[in-house]
Amino acid sequence: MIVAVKNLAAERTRLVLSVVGVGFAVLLVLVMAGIFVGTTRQVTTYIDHSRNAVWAVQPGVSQMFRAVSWLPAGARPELTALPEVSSADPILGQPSDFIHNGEQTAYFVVGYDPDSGVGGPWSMAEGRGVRGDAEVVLDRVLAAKNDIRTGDTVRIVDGDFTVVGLSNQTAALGNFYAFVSLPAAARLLRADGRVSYFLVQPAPGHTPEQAAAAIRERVPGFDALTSAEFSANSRDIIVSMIGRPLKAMIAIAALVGVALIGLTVLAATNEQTADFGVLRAVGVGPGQLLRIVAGQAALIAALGYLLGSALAYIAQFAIGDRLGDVTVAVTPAMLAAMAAATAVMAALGSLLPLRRVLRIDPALAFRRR
Amino acid sequence: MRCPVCHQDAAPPRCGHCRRPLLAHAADPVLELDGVTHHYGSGDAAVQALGGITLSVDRGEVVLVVGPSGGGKTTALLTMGLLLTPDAGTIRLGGVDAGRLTERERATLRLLRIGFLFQDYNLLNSLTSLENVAVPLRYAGVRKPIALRRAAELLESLGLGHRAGHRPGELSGGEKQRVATARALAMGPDVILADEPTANLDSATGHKVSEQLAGAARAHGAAVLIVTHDARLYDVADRVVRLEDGVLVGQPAGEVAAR
Repeated sequence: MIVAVKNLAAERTRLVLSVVGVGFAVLLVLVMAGIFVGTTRQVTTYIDHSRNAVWAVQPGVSQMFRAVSWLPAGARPELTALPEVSSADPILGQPSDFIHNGEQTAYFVVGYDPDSGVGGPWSMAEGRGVRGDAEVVLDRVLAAKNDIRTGDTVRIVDGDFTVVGLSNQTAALGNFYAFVSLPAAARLLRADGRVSYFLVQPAPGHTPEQAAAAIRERVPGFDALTSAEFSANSRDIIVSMIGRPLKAMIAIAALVGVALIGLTVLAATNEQTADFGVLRAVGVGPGQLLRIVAGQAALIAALGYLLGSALAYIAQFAIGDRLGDVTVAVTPAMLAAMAAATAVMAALGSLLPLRRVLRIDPALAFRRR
Repeated sequence: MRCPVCHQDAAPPRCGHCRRPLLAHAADPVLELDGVTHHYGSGDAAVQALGGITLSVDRGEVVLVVGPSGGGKTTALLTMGLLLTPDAGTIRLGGVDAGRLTERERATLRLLRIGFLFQDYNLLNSLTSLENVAVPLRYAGVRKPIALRRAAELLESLGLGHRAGHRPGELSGGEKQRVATARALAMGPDVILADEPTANLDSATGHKVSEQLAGAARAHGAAVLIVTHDARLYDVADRVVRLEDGVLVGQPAGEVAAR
């Protein structure tokens, strides 16, 4: 091992560049994976906040982002009449475009009952909730992006609203929320006696699954999903949209890591060919030489991993602070998986150098340099 | 038997004190070649490098192999060092027929019974003198403190104690070759094979190094076989043999040409 470390350390510039290269690949993989995990977690925060509830939806609708649900607003008594149901609060929501000072941003307009607060913002960064039909609570990241402050007037669909508050936890990867009163949303979205969902609370002694089953069986024209199901379906839609490109980028970053380790160890092996020949001549076994090469690959990979994971850990806070709607979640499981992946990178990267070492002729030591 | 590294009483397969692997004691001759032939190439293009060499070397003996370039000296050294398998003939090292060994067994025999000295020193540039001398010991499994102590003792005995912490780039040619000599002696070998060890050294240094090599080898009970063009080495040798066109000619055993 001492030869592995000292021979690498003898070429400090190459060692530093290799470690930085591998570290960059690790950083890239972790940030990509972190964005993937963070976004898929954050994108369903609105639904997840209604834990233990049931989402009553139009039949055929199973998720929130790529389907429009219409239900008759007057059906509320039918829902509350069910013994499995404690309450049913209407929510009216649709995706739209937020246009401010010529800038266009995709967002989700949500109408809720300000008296119950159900379906409205649950964490305020600034200001208060909606009280009147000409008031709006905007996501704080959306507001910051457009330089909007409480008290400003903004255009929601085709109506003017006063911003009375800014909400937290309501932005995920370009998807922002704006909260208005239910009558205002009905007017803006031309709902005409319809709502999108009813957020149903199960009656005491009943589970969300029982309440959902009761709605499906006994309320015609209604389907129902538990919060967990509705959230999972909605997350799947986002994963299907961003998952493949992100996974491709993760794979490319991993391949870059393999190539960097491979090239570095190969370069180091080539430079040490004469030394390896001497070691073979004096009787050092091929297995021991392989351990030198594997040790060098492991060292580069380990240092690169430490550098990359430390940077990724810092980056998750820096990115979150700067962008707001992009969450990078670097979890312990992800770090453990990355450590294993880096070990695989090192193993793959040392294959070619290992092959070369096995072919070194010990008689090489007697050739004049 | 005594362990050649830590000098404690020990028995194969390993010294219980320093962990050096041990082989059975080798009786004289420690190195024996019998009718060794070797060709490079094949068919009409084949060139004979060795044409049936028979030679034996005893423990403590210093033998020079001299001869013109292309006479087969290096090929002979490679076969004796178990680095080249001859076409025919037998090589016995410590009484063991090398032709019957696997590559792994030959490597083990090299590590335990042979010390090598090269014209270009072949020290590892990233290691200090002390670490270079300890390399074969460490790869043989000798405990680190004992390996480093042994390396320090050998460097001290060759007058290089003060250069133990220096890397090859900081040493003169003579110092490098003395570090290489210490490395060749480190495992307590039965035979030291040296390939033109003084070719890169000035006259005085070359003589000093070869005297130290012969003296140290005799003190450690090792045979030395030196392939050289350097006539200055004749007075350190017990015997000189001449290799021409792959055949040993000249000196009968026990007689030194230069004396």
